[in-house]
Amino acid sequence: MLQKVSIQNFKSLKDVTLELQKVNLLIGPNNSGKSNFLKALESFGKYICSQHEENRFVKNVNDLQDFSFKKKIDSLQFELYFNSESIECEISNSGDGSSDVDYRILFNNEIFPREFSDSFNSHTIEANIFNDDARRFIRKLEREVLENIKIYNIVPFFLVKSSSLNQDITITQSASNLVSFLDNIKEEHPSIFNKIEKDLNKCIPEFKHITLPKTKAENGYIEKKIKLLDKDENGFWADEVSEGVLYFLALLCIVHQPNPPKLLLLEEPEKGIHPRRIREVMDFIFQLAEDKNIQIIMTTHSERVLDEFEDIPEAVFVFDKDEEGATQVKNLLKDIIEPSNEKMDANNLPRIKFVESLGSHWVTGFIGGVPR
Amino acid sequence: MRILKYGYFGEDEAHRIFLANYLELLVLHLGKSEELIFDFDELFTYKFRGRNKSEVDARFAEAVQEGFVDYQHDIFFVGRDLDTFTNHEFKDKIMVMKSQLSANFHDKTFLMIPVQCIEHWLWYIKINLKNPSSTKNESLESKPRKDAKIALYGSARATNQISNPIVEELSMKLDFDYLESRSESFKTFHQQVLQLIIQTMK
Repeated sequence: MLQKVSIQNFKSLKDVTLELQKVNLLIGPNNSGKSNFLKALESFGKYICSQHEENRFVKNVNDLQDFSFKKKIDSLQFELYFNSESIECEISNSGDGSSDVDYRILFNNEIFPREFSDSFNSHTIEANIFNDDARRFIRKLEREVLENIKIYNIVPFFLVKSSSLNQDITITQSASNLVSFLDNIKEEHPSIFNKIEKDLNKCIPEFKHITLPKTKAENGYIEKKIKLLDKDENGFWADEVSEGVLYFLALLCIVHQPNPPKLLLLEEPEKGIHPRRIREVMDFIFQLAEDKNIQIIMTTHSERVLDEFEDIPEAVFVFDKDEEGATQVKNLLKDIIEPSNEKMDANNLPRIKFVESLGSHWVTGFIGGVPR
Repeated sequence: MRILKYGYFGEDEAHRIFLANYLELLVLHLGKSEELIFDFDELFTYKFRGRNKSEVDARFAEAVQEGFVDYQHDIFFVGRDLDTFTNHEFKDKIMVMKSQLSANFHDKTFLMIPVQCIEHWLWYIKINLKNPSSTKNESLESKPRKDAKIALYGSARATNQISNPIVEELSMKLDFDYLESRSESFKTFHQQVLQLIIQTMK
């Protein structure tokens, strides 16, 4: 599990550090930097796992400027703490007057590559850029955390459409290939397909089976479309069920895909879900984290999602921007609740009852992370 | 010169605009503009907000506490529509809300609870401006909230873009004596604030 992430100079994240838990929630107004945090984690995470050219999200000085805070050409820094050790990645201007950028990785006080050269991107871990310790650490980090790292921003609109088929057994970021994924999984991994059906039925009992009948698309091609069956085998096409149900199905597919991510980055899991169903979705997410040993970082704009963290406020991070436009992140327990308790105790006043209703304290302003 | 920094926690913009204009006019009305300024804490008020009555009820006591402890307010205002119009409901509400406040803050916290809604106070002002010589004492507070909003904004669900300028304009023309003679809920609020000013200027 990732224990801590520090990011400097990545978009609005001028300097932020988050001490992570198993399931983490990022709250704050729009444009406060929550998605930038996920993006930084995804981009650096992919690069640390494999230093191939394709994983270089900053390819030249222009890119560096685009990614830097306030578009100033400055070095981007990223540090991950895992298994009580840390690894750091820095991207900076090469300083030789060209448009090149240098990537360097710091592990156990050693900088890799030991000698700078433009050819760093053509090497791989196996090419002895790293020493044995670093190589071992990166492999473990990849296997246990960063493998298949991806931000999932499920768009229910895509899920109602029919789709042509391909060989997908990996869900895309928007889950737009869900039909194709389910079709392949049903054929090639029937036990996984059954598990998805079973979990769907457990959380949304009105649906018992997932089917993928053929339909004729507007262009005349034969495609497939999701149809859910109830216990009496009455069928409901994807566009006849709620977006929440489809969202839920997509979430199930993400975690049950043959090679699921170990660190699940989720944007607004409440999207399209009825407020009364949010608890079930959150139960499912927490269960998932336990059962599959997945670490989860998600953003939300829902006070009901926040309410589900009343017993673990240390897992909530409140994002705001300061006057300079830099993202400031506060841990709900350490930086908000505990200091408030100390202050109220010192004044002989009752403590603010944050955890009685976190959502209500959030939207009324007690926690911060609110739009003006 | 005495500056009283005040915080506000309430359910909508109309209350806040009314309050700011009321305090400004009151100081002028009492001839104290050289001696007293009410300083609105914008930062606090834009951070702490109730979106509806139940949220104001649930959180106002804590908001008052935050205001005095964290933001060093000298006084604090809480704004909430009563929604009903009987006198005993009004008195009960004031009593219940007061009982939720920490004893340290009782004298420094002012509850602005218009019977029915703030638009009824503004409706009185509008009628007075239209017919200043009229002696007709019609009670508007028994009329539904919707009627007051339509009378003021032309619609039962006006956007802030429409309502705020109207609230701003009417509240700047407030006649204290007239409104006090018409609305018991305004009178209760106004008398508390007058007492505060007398105490402060002693």
